[in-house]
Amino acid sequence: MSLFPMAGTVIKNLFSRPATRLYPFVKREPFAHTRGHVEIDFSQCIHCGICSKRCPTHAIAVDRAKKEWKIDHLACVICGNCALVCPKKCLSIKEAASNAVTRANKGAETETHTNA
Amino acid sequence: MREPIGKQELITVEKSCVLEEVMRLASLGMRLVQILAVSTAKGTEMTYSFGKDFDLVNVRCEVAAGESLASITPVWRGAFLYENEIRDLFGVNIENISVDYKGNFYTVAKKQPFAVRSSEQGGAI
Amino acid sequence: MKECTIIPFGPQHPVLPEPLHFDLILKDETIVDAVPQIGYIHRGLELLVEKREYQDYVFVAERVCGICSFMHGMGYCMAVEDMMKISVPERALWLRTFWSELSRIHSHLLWLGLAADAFGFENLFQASWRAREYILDLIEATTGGRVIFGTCQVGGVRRDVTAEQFAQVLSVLESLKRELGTLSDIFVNDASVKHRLVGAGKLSAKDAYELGAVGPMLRASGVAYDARKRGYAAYGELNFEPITESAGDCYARVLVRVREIWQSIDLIKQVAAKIPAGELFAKPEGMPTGEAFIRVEQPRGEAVYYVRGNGTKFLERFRVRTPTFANVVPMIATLKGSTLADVPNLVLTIDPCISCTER
Repeated sequence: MSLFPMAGTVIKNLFSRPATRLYPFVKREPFAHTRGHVEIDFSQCIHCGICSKRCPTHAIAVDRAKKEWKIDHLACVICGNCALVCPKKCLSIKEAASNAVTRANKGAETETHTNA
Repeated sequence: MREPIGKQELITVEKSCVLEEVMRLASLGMRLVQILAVSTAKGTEMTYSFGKDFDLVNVRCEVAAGESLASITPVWRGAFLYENEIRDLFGVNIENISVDYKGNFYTVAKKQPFAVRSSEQGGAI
Repeated sequence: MKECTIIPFGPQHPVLPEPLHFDLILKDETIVDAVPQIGYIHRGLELLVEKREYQDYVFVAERVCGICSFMHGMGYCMAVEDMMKISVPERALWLRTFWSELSRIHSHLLWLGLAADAFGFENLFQASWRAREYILDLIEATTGGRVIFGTCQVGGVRRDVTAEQFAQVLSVLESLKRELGTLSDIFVNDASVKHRLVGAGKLSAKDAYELGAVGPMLRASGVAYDARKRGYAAYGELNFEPITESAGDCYARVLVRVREIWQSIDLIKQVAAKIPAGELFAKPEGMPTGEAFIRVEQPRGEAVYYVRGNGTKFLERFRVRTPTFANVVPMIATLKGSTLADVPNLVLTIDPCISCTER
C-alpha cells in the first residue's frame, strides 16, 4: 500500500501554470478575416439601400431622403452579404466582436450615420 | 469532374393510385426516403421519394383543396412523422395514419401556415 | 393486465442538447412504447425562402442548425446549381469537400462528448470538446466563423484556402492525433464504457433499412450505404469506403463514428494533396426555374434537399429532409424493450439534431 497516492498530482497542480488563458489580462486575438462586426466608410456611401434590401435579418436601415445609414449590431449575424453586394465597397467586416450592450449603455447596439 | 452517380425518375399518378405504386416500388426493394408537399394554385402537390442504393424514384400526385388522401403507413411505418407534419403545416387531410396526432403535432400560432404563399400572409418576415 | 406508467422525457433534460419530448410507456422498468413530440423550436425557415432572394437564402439555410451548418448551406447551393445548370469550378468543389470533412470531424467530436455525458462520464465529455476546440480554431482560421462558416454561395465559394493554411491544417491534425488516440482508446476499449453500450439498443439490418435509418445508425447495423459514394463535390476523386459494423448496438455506432473521424482526417490529407488551382465562383445566369433533388451525406446521415423555382429571384419552395427526422422512427424501435436507465443513451445514439429536424 502506498502512502499519499495523490500527492504527486496535487503538488504538480499547485505549482504548474493554469491550462486556461488568464482573461481579462490576456485576451484571445481573433484570426485574420474572422467575422466580428460590420463597419462602414460613410464618406463613400451613396444611400442606394442595396445593403438594406439584401440583409437576411433586416439589421440595416437606409433612409435615402435623410441620407441616413443605421445598423442594429445585435440583429446583425455578420454574414457579410452587405459587404459583398455594396456597389461602392464601403462596407467591410472587421475582426473584433462588437461591444457588449448592458443596462448602462442601452441603445449602444444601434449605430447611426447621417449627413443631414 | 464526373457527375454524381444515381438515376432520378419522376412518376405522376392520380392520388387514388399512390398506395398501389408505393407497394410496387416496395416489392422492388426501394425504401421511403421522404415525403414532400408544395402548395400550388389548385391545392397541394405531394411527392413521395423512394430510394434504393443511389437511385431515387419520385411519385407525385395532386390533392385539390378539401380532398383527402390515404396514408402510406400500412406499407411504411416511418411515414407517420412526415404525414402528420404535412397535415399540420399544409392542411392536407391524410386519412388512417398509424400514429395520428390529430392536428397537435406542431403547435403553431397560425394554423396551416405553409398552405398559402407568404406574400399573401400578413405580418413581418 | 399489468398497469402501465407513462413517464415524460424532455423537453428539458440534462443529456438533450435540444428540446425533444417523449412519452415513455413503461411496464415496471421496461419500455413498451414511446410517443415522440417535436416542434419546440420550429421556426418555419422553409417558408422564408419566399421572402429572401435565392442568393441571400444561403445564409438562412446555413443557420438551420449550428452543427450541420456548412452542409446545409452546401446542399442548398448544390440544389440551386443543379436546377439552374450552373457549372461550379473545380477548386470550389474541392474546397467544399475540405470544409465538409472538417465539419464532420467537429460534429463527431461534439457527439462523442454528448454520448459520454449521456452515460455519465463527464470528464470524457469535456476532453472530447477540448479536442474539438482545435478543429473550431482551424475552421475559424479558414472560414472566418467558428460554427457558421459562411463560405458557400450559389455558384461556388466565397473565399480561398491558401497553401500555407492547408499546411497549418495538416500540422494541427497531426498534432491532434495523440489526443484523438487517447479519446478513441477510452471509447473503444474502456470496460465501464463497454458495459453501458454493448448490447444496448440493438437494431437489425432489416429493421434499420425498412424503418428508414440513415447514416451511422444504418451503417452500424451492417448496411453499407454512404451518400458520399455517389461522388458529388470532389468525393468521386477521393479514395474511401463506407465504414460499417454488424452488431447494430450503441457500441457499434460509437465505433463507426470514431472511425469516421480518422477517415475524415485521411480525406482532408487527400484533398490537400490533390486540390487544383482555379476559379472560386461561377456567376449564375438567368432566373431559377424547375426543380431539383440533391442528397448529401451529413455527419448524421443522408439529407435530401429540394428546391423549386418559378422564374423569379424568389424560390417557390425549399425543403430539407434531415437525417434525424428519418432516424426518429428507428430510435423508437430500439427503445421498445429497453430499460428506463438506457433511454438517454438510446436517444443520443442517433445523434439527434432537433434544430435540423424542425427547421
